[in-house]
Amino acid sequence: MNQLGWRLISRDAWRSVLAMAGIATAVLIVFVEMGFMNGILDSQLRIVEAVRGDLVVLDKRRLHLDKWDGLLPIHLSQIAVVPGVAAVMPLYQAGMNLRNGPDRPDRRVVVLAFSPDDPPLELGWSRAALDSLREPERVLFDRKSRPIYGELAVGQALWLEGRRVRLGGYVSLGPTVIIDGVMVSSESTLKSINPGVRPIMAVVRVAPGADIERVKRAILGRAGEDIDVFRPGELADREITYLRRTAPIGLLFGAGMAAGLFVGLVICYQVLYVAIRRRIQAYATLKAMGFGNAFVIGVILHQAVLYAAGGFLIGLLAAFLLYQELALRTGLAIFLTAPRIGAIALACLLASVVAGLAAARQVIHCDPAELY
Amino acid sequence: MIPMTVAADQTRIHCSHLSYAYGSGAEEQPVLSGIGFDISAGEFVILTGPSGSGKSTLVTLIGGLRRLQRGQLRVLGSDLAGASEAALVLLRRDIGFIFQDHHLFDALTPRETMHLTMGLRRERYGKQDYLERPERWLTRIGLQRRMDVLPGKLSTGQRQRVAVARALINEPDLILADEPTASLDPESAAITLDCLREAVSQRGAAVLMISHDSRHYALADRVLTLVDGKLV
Ligand SMILES: Nc1ncnc2c1ncn2[C@@H]1O[C@H](COP(=O)(O)OP(=O)(O)O)[C@@H](O)[C@H]1O
Ligand SMILES: [Mg+2]
Repeated sequence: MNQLGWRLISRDAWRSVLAMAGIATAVLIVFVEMGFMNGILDSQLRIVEAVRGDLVVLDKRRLHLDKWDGLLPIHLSQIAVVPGVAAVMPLYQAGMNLRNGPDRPDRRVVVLAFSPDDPPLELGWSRAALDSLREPERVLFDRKSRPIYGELAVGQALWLEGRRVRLGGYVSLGPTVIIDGVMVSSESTLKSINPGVRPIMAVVRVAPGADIERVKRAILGRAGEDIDVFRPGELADREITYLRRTAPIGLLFGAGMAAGLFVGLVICYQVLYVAIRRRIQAYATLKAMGFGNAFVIGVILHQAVLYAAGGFLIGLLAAFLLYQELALRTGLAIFLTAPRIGAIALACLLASVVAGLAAARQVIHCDPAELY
Repeated sequence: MIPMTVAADQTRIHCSHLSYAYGSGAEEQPVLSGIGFDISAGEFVILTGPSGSGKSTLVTLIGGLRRLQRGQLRVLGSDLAGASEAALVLLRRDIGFIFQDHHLFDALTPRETMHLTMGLRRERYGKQDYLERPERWLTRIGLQRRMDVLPGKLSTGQRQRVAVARALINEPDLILADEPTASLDPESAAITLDCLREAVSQRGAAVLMISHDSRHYALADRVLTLVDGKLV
């Protein structure tokens, strides 16, 4: 293995570290853009992932989960009698003002409600907390909500739309871009505060042995005019697709990531260009001696990849630290996964190859005859 | 005692009716015209002449660094008229080039430069060669104690000597040198000329060296003089 590329980098350590730091900055930009994008998407999916059931029924007009068109009660009874349906568990959702103490300010909160006997979601509650919902005017609070609500202690009084309720325990869900905090109540508690509320979705549990696809088609056949039926995985996909395409989230953060990548590519090119320029006569000598273009390009690509690898690792480390801070501050699900790290590593590698090839042009075009 | 490496024909350079011009059309500037000469194995030939007479141009043509325009040129058995770029690259591996400047990589020690150069001929060398050959050559040029320092810590003369070792380590059949001693201290100049002489006398290499220094003429078997693009 030829060591020239490595030696050119390692014996110019100071310049190389500076170059890598520049590339690392661009890598960090890409990571942060990706972190926010996935944070928004993943946070949006937490409610879907909490679903405990085989199918989810939504109103057809409800294009995504932040549009609150409800199901009609008639739908619930239609679905309940479809063969193969074991249980229909409606989930209610309402935006409300929460006041933590008589003289505290109102804060918007989303209240999720369902029957505590058969919850359609699993939100990380304790048995005692869930049981407490059987008593009227009890609520649970999402511990991962943004810290705008103040300290909430089990047993304390709270005011939801002016109605006095009592905190029975905690759940664990997390905010989204739009929702700062979540409370959970029983269906009857929510209806006592807001009698007109309609379910935003119904989670269906299919009878043991029944074919889920067939039940899905049967539900659509029975009540299909204004509803959609999904498996939880399909709903998650639809949600992501909606946010990526229709909402400009994919475009917005995609552009940010592309810009970061481009900045990294330009820095890598610039650094290589200067490093090659300084040694152009040594490269020309290689060509005069009978080293082919492939060899010389290999030496330059080797350097490009080393710069990119160094920049990537520094950027990854910085992203790792920054992600923890961002997740803490925003409450969004911002975290690194192996496929995401791998995707950015691959993008860096490709960008460095492009930068290397672009910088190698000056060597390909240099004329070793000029050495004499 | 000349080993027969390039077939029975001992002609290393055959050149006839060679002409060359820079630029084209109205800009055309003829530099060489009607050049003809042969250099055989075991010959040390000096090329001299006033500045601008076309010496460097001729050497780059012979070295396959520039494309032939008119005339015949055969180098180490390869016909350079219409030779492909790939063929020229391969030809250059059999030629030892010495330039006025060393053009070493600042990041490679003399030993590493030798290793890199040996890589051009890796089919010839075994593991042992990579250990011994650089040491032998670097000792030969008086750098036995400087084999592992970077060029930044070497004197100009020492660097140029490394470039000489680089040109010779693969034992090329033809060595092309352009005023290799012009800016050297006497010790480095003497070592450089010794090495070239040795390549000619011991293994029958052919040397074509550009020089203005008439003291070198005594070393040469022949002196070619170029004036205004013509041999006189
Ligand atoms: N790349 C080039 N383009 C145009 N003219 C050149 C180039 N290289 C050399 N020349 C011209 O060709 C002539 C011969 O140059 P050169 O071969 O370097 O002569 P020498 O080595 O004998 O000094 C000079 O007039 C020089 O200006
Ligand atoms: Mg010259």
